[in-house]
Amino acid sequence: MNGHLSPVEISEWLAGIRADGAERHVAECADCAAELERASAPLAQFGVAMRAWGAAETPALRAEPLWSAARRRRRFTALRVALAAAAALLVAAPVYRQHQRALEVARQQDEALLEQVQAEVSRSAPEPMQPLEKLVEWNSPTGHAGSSQ
Amino acid sequence: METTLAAEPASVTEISVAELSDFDAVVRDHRPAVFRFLLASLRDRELAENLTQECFLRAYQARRGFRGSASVRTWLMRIAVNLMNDHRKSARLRFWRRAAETSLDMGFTGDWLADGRSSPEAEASAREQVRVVWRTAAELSERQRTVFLLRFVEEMEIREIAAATGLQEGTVKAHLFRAVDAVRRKLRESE
Repeated sequence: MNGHLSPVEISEWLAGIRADGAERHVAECADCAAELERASAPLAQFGVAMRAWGAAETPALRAEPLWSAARRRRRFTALRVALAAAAALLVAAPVYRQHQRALEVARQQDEALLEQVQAEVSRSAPEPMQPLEKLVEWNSPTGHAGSSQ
Repeated sequence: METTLAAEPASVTEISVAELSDFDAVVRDHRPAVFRFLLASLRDRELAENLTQECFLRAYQARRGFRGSASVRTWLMRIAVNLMNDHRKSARLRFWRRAAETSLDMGFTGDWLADGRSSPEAEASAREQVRVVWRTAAELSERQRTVFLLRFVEEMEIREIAAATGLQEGTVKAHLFRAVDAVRRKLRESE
């Protein structure tokens, strides 16, 4: 590095950019070290003033900050889900029981109907013709009445 | 260059993750810095306060995903920077232009500088320099202003600024150089 730090190199230094040999030069050159200190002073003062101002301006926390509300909302949501599940169970249980009862009644009706159909099918003649059937039996050659003729 | 904080010691990671377990303490410790950064960037007190609230709400919601690859402060600043950028993109907020025109000083007059200089003249000079820096910051580009405030107000390292802004370290340095150079030129003009 030749000569003292240029204004651009001083800005680079303050921005964290180090030109080749700059650090060694600053370590050895009192003028450049002083110039860097002079250049950085307003920036440091600005930081100090801003932090003091910011501290004074920072508002007090709201009665209920958003993240606290979020935390409460999350708990409330969990409670709501639990309550909704319980309510759904309360509603669903009677409906389920009623549905089961209806199924049972339908099953019993089906069975009764099947029995009735079975009875109808097992008859050789319809009910109104059953007396005639008895007469046929009476006149049958194998029947008891026929053998007596 | 890829910006990563993975090389940080494990103890830092553990401390960062453990720090988040007490979220009230996180808010207590970091809220002033987040608010200060947003206030200095936006120069709108109400917006800065709302975004600070939003920042901690987002952090609270995302805290389980935090793995400690950066410090909690850097992580919070990244959320704050992202929130600010989102607001900048929204059409309804041409806030910086408006802020620059209407509320430039916002009560920040340089009087916040602590006393203790060698003479009243030196003190007045220092305060005037602070005012010049404040006003010049308003004229910087958004990125230049962001890295400038993170460096000189929040005193973050280049590496931390890169992590907070999502920029590469070289890009951070380039923005910072332009910001510093602009400030120094204004300071020279004001002498």
